[in-house]
Amino acid sequence: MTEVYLPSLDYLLAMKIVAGRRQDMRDARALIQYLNISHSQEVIDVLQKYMPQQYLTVKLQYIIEDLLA
Amino acid sequence: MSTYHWHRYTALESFDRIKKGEDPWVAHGDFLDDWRRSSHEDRLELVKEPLGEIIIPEERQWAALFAASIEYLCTQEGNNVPSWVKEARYYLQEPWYPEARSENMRRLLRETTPLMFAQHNVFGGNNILDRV
Repeated sequence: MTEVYLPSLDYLLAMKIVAGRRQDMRDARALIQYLNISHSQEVIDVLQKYMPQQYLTVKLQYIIEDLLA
Repeated sequence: MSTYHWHRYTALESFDRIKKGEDPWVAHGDFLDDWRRSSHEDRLELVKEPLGEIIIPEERQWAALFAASIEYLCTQEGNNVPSWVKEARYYLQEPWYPEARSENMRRLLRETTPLMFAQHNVFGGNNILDRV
């Protein structure tokens, strides 16, 4: 039997934000809505689950702000 | 010319797809994919004709994005830039930050957008042509 591995939605959200392309922003907005996220700290918490601290840059902060604007 | 087993969207056709109501990012992305999947010597064929008539303001923004993309791609690859991309109608009067909603994001886009896009007043950042 073939097994298919799917990433969790919060992992997917983290990947979308890090990729940061225009089409990823749309997907990230949809995921934020689906996951009922309303504060930037919640998104940062998701990123911190999967990323080393040194990769959490100001750029990502701006992207997160924009996603929730 | 190489043989292609799929239809390659020209810039003109891609812009027409937008005018007909298709998702602009899909049309622009398909054009980029076809450009990159084409042999180097067949790429200019995709951009030889200018875009169709611009009717509504939103179309002007997408036209400017196409013109900037073509100018950037041609320059990057050492191809001659088609003269039509430098016509006045492909330069926006006001800066356009596609899909940006916050001032910090607009600032980030201003700082990271390649000059050739900035000259067309399209501030989409440094990954606007990335597909994967």
